[in-house]
Amino acid sequence: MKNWAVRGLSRRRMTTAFPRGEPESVAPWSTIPVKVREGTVLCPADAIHDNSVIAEKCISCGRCSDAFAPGGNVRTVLVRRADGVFRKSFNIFIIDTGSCGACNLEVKALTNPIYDMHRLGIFFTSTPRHADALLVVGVMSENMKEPLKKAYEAMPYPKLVFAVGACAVSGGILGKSIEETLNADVIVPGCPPSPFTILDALLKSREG
Amino acid sequence: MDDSLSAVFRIGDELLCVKGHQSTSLQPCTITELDSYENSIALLGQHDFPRELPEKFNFNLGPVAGGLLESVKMNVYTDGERIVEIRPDPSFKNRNIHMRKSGIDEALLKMERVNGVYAASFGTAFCLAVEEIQQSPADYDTQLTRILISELERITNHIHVIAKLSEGASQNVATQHLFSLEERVRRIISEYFGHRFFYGLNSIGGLEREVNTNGLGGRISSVVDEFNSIWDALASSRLFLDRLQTTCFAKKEWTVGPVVRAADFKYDARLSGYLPYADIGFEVASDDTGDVLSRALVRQHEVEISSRMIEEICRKVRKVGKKRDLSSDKNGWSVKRVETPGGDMILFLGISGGFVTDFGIRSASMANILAFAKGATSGILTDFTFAWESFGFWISEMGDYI
Repeated sequence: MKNWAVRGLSRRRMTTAFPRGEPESVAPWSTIPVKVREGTVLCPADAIHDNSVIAEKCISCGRCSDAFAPGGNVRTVLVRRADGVFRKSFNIFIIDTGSCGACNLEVKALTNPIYDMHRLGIFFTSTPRHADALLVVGVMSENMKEPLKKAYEAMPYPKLVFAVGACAVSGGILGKSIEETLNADVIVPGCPPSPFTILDALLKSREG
Repeated sequence: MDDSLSAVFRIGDELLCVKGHQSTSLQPCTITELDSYENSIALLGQHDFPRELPEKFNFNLGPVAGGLLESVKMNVYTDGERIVEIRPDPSFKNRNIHMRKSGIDEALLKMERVNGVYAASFGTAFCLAVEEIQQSPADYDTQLTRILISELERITNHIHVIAKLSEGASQNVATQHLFSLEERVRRIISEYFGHRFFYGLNSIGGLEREVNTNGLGGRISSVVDEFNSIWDALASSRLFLDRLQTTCFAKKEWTVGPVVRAADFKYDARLSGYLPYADIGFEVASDDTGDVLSRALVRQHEVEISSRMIEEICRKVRKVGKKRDLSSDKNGWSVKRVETPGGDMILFLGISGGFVTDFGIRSASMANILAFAKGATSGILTDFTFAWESFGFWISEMGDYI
């Protein structure tokens, strides 16, 4: 026990200053690119129109790097509907409708001591019956349509739905968006979105 | 002579198989012939378990449940607390990814997203297959950089798997130290390679972004030192070891990755030389018991070996420039066997006119899922978590392709 206590203290504070401060580490190509010069660009996700990137479609592949550079901004979420009732405590149920695994790990990372979402009153719950929000990752696979609908129906009101990652938001390059099955209240772009972006989305959705 | 069944691909109406742990040659085969192999059912994706088990309690978990990172259904049959049988059903999140008729570069990006957690090794396998068809191998520094990213991926993945084992054993302080180490490695990766999962880095003939390895070896070595110290502390906990030891034996020659190496079979696709592993001091980690603890020990040893190889590569390669070569118009097919963190993945790829014409993957999770189902049987229900996590499954890589 002493061993673990000493080890914990010797690591000092590792929790991020976010959201009060700026993110300490941002993966450049996880943020939405911005145009910096002229160049030929063939976007595999059809995310570039009129010299700007549609965040919902961008798959963070960097194939536009001849003309675009990472924007570096993690606060790129789109909140269609927020609810202030969740300000003090916010319970989230995660559902994977067809992800590659990366979004799952970035969401899971929110519980590690570095992001520590519990300090902000946000918790994961293991059943939709206790959930305030449904956090959906991955493209809409055929076999997950029914479990997704059932999970949503099992949730009490009021409730929010988050589409997390390019696959859930727009289908990316692999399939269909979840929005054909369920309307999302909060759009979290990125492939996968940075844990900071997901945290930002969770916080903004409680500001209603 | 190792002639265990490794992969089966259906090309049109024809069945082709790959045998052994090193081979990449395709042989025609029939369903009847495949039935003689213990693992053939898993490879064909036709789980033919008995339907009725009288007087047993059917305990269903998933496809959506707390604690499961991905969507998968487990039909668990129990007699008291003892597991009589497990039927995993990974089909729920099957994405039916459209690979055929995709352009080569688009297919590479899709390949990275088959299993995002193994994007570096999946992307590398795809690039190697295309480069073989086009008869234009990447230069030596690019090959070493591909080893570099694959080994970084292995370290991150193995730390994650051991953190999940620790979480299952309620070693919560150790778990959080391990998850924070995983985050440290992801941040180092994003700093050096531009993306936390290496997305978009691999390219046909080279790399899509410039890579500078200055200081990388030392930083990874420091993470691995801390990981080893946490592992030593965990391994001194009798509570932790008791949960892992003699749990879920899997001693099957047809398994792959840390699972087969923990059963004293020294199989590793990296020995085949698809990349110059021999030049950087690669060695195979193994153990002989074949239980959950053995698999954890193999992973811990592999983290050390990967760290040493990363330091060696950083000494040899300081900087690699951006390079892409899609100029060749050669057609053909290739079979590549690449060691992902979960075990060897076999890729069958055909291209014609710049588009994918044939595509198939036998992933490590597909190769090992039947060994899990067999190994966890006769254990007790509370051992389920350790059995599952020790294999390091990713359901995402078990889907179908169109």
